[in-house]
Amino acid sequence: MTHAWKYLAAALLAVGWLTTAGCPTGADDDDTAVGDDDDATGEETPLPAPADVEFDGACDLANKYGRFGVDETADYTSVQGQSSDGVVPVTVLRNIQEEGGCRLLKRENPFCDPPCGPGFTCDYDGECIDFPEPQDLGIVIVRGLTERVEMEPRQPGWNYFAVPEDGMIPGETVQLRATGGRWDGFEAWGVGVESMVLPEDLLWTIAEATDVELEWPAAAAGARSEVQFKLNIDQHGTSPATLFCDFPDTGSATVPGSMIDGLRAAGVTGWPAGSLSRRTVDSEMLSDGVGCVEFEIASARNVMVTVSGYIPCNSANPCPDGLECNEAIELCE
Amino acid sequence: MLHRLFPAILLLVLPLTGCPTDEPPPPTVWECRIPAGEDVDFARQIGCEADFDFLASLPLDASIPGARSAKTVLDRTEADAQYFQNSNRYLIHWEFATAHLSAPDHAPVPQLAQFNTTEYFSPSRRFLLGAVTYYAGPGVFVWEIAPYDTMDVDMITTAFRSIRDNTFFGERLKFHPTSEAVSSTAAGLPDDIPIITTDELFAGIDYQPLNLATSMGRLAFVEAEDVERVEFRDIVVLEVVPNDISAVQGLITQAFQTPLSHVNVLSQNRGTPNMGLRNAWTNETLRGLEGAWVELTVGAFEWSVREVTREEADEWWEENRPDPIDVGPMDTTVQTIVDIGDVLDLENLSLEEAISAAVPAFGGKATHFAGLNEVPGVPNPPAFVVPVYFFDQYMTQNGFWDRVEAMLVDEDFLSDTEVRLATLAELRDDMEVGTVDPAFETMLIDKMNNDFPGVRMRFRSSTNAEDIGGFNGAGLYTSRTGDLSDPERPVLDAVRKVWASVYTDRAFSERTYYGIDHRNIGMALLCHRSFPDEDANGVAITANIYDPAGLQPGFYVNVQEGEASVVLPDPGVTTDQFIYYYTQSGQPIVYLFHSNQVPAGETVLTNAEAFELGQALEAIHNYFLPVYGGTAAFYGMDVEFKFDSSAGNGSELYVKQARPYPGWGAVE
Repeated sequence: MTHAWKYLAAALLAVGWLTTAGCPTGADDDDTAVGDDDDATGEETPLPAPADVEFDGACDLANKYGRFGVDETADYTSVQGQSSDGVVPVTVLRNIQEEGGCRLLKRENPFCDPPCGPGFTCDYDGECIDFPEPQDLGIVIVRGLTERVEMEPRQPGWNYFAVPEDGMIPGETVQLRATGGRWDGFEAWGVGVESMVLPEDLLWTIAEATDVELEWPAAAAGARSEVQFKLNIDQHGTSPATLFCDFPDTGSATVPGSMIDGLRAAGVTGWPAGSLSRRTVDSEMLSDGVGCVEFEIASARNVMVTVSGYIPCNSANPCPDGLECNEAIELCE
Repeated sequence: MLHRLFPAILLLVLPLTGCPTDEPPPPTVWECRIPAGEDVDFARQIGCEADFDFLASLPLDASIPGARSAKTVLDRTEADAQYFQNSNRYLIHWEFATAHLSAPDHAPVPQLAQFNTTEYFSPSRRFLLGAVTYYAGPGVFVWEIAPYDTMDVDMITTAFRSIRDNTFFGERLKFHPTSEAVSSTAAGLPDDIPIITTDELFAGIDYQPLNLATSMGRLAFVEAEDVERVEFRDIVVLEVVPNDISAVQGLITQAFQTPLSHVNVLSQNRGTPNMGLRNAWTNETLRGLEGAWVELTVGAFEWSVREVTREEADEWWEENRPDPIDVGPMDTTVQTIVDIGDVLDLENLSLEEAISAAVPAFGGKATHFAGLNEVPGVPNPPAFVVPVYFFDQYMTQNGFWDRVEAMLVDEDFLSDTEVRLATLAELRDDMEVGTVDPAFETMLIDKMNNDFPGVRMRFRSSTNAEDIGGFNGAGLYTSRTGDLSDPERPVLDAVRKVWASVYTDRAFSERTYYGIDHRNIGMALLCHRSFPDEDANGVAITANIYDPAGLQPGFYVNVQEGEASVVLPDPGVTTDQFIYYYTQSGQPIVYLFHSNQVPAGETVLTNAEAFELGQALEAIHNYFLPVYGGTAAFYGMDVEFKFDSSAGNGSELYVKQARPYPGWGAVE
């Protein structure tokens, strides 16, 4: 090799080193121990029948380290998830009212003196604790969708994300399997749900002491899905309370007026947000014996909500005919 | 030969690696990045003023006047991709991120609540979020992060440099810490990030919008000593901030006001424009219109004045004169002193009904105080109420009602300001020395001796036309201290002086402006122990008065060391004024002004005291929500409080008043 070619090779090696070693990549190398299949033959074991799958339901908020989901929207289906090594205290909502399958959960805000600095968060003992850090879970595999999904973590935040073509198959068993990383591997289960189809112009009207009657196309007989109704009044994410209701997937349900009143009593400002979600929910305890990861298969649709006598607006969202937008206060008058 | 090319090869290929070099990039030639007339959702760079103007909106929080902001998003999953969002279309970061940086082309952006749990707090957050803001007063571009954002030094540095390198004003860009917590972090920033403080921004601001409104009236420059002689159709220019002012159509003060000053609360109640303007007294535009009929508009970011004809002004007045407020007659059926816990009939009535039922007998202040007494966790002193019956008795027994009746049909009194002022002064003088019914005197003294032995008491006005929805009555009436064991502070003198304040010039004028029948006005007395040795006193609004849309919920607090006034500080005296983001993680405090009555670098309230106050404000806000909130455009309670250690238990919080706050431009 001539000196000239040595220089060229050195330059290219330098480039190669800079492109690979000099700039950080995502997952650790040993995370590539994928496909640790279910038997010694290297072939994955068949998934159990949907009727045989047992769901452990949602995590308790106090130990919910993370969530994985197969989330179907009107446009696409995504698989996504993340798990931390702890719980952010403000995400542990307090149940302040309960009736008819509904729970009104209120956000608490712990106080620390002095306030916690960057990288810390305040717990309910008034102590600053490390802000929970997302963790490496190794390769995460989801089976039972239209295609097998295998995900490596992405940075920052050890996020897992994929968009499988066509998404989920209603009635089919879905398995989530995390292969390692921070904790021993774990698996959780779901069943593909039918799309939640709602009229595009559906509007829920929230009025004092008035039940909200919900209707949707019921799931097929034998479906494993349930339906969750969610309603809050967003205040830049600091909603004082959020209303959750879980109903059988029968096509109709009633949200009690007393629960609506409880939500209204927590304050009406900003933009009301409502959704109806058909879903299955499972969860799995992590190997630390404390943390829990949730796995949700969901088809959710947002629904327009109006609070009687209170119509928000801004330059991008004009008022109905006959009303004018007071942009200073973002309300139709 | 090739060895000579080695450096050149490296130079050619290094940029492809994506890694930085030490070589400074060539200076950017800035041109507009948004084609003229094109409507875009975001830009990757701001190349000219037109780009900024297109992307920027009025900030959600207008606590520092004259600002326009474009929100910034740095996506760390995409090699620190920089975005400047169309902030008119996307009011908050989440809306933009959801629309443009989410699945299926990007990693999903979570729901709003989850987004806000991580993206302003997590060390491993995906986004670095902020806003570039142009402050017109001082003429500076700054980059700001949310006051509750816990970005560390590296994050701020990364984001700031990205903004700097992607904007035409980058070389002039400064970092503005928006809260005490952010200031602490900013102290560790490297030297290439210049910092500008809130104080420095305010120093460059000439215009202070206090109440957003438009009105027409006659422009009058008024000396402080003549403030009682203004006419109700005047738009008044003053050098100083008066404690009170009779009903006028607009107010411009050369001195800046505190938002909770009586004149501002009254302006808000009346729906009339109110602003501070440096050098207003010599402002050529205003001086050129002195004595003329004008239209004054106070906007969130700018003001305007134009001459109109008398006919236009008359027409405007006819269309906009306030609707008469029907206070209704006093309720004189309650003929004994009542403990505060017995004022509201909450066993049989809703809170709203109970308040409506109690006000005619106990007045607005005492009724709301009774409500405070019901709010768990809100400390207020034990109290009793002298109902309006005894005021009515005093007026009748001394012949004062007859004199009021005569005044109200006297043409001279009604049409001549000097006659009116003199007649009212004479009535007040006589009311301060009238004869108190002996049975009432005995009842009052027995009550004080039995329930408050040896306690110096505060007698506070509580008319049936104050602290009610639609009529605030801030500062119209007076309070006095009485002590049975102190000959310098006779109890009956206190009672009579408070009763006489029903007929102050301003109270009379204000009621007249609103068409309130003076014959219906009675005054109850709210009585509780006095606070002669306050550690701190203040007023607070249970809402962020600078964010009428409610997207940045917080409490506004104005507090001062000791007993000094917060609503009308002495000249040269400043108070602590801050927005308390109580519902946000870490409860950040954003100081707008600092008190000069405490050592530099200190604050009037400790963090723990602010949190205790926040708990009380939240409880009060929620308690009165069904009455004054509901679907109201803007809801907040105006709360007076103090910290006092005279009980010997350390500095304790007491809430002494709560009333509905009219809001910022919320009154028609």
